[in-house]
Amino acid sequence: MYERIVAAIDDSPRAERVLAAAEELARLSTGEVFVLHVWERQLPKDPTSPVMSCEDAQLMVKRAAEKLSEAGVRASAEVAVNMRNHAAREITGYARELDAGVIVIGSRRRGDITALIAGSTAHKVVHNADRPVIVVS
Amino acid sequence: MPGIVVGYDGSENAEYAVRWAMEHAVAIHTPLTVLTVNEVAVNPYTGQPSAFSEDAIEMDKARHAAEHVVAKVGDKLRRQPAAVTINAITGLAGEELITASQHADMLVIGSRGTRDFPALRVSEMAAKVTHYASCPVVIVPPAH
Repeated sequence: MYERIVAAIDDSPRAERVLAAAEELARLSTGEVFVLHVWERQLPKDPTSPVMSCEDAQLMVKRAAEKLSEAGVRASAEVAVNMRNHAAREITGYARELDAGVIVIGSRRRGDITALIAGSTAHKVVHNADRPVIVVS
Repeated sequence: MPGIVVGYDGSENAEYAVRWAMEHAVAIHTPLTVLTVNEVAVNPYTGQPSAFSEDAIEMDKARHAAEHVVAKVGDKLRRQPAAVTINAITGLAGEELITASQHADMLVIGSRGTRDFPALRVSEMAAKVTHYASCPVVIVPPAH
């Protein structure tokens, strides 16, 4: 059921909860956690561009995977580079390729107006996924 | 309702959700509550669900359907959850699931219900519940 778990994280505090949930699932059947961050290509002079550099993203997933490994859970790290607003497609595609049992993703808390207007990545993942998705907020 | 709560509406998709929830309840040794809601109309004046005496019969039917699916899915599993409670209520499914999430460790729902268009991959209710729930939500697609 949880041999391969995709933990999709960003640089928000939710990432900790996503990783904790993935770790818990991995322990149930000695599964492996695939820590994934989709780094979206930045447009020049776009004030809404993500602030994190691709190198920072690499470091973030690497640290997350190391932390899991130290806790005794098999883990690997991956940064997928993609067009802006295509993160959800990348996450579901990655899970499909791996044939992951479950995708764990964080979502903004209720009342966050940005999520309602832009549509959050978590919601798009739920729409696109062909396997169970755990949404942690 | 501590433990796992799974929503059941009689759809095939919800059956997959029940199966996932039962397997997970076994894996983490936690009790499971199957929540089934006899969905009624909203009173346009009060905004509250408008239930009638006939709804007690419908609620019983929903309870039997949930009991049936738990027995059916349970037969296919090697191990059974420690405790399975069936909770049938009359009201608004989305609201009841969000309320249940306040005391649950995890809420499991199917991505689509019986009333949704086949082309719709995730129901509006599932999206709403995901957004407003107080605990982690698992959305189980068909054939899982």
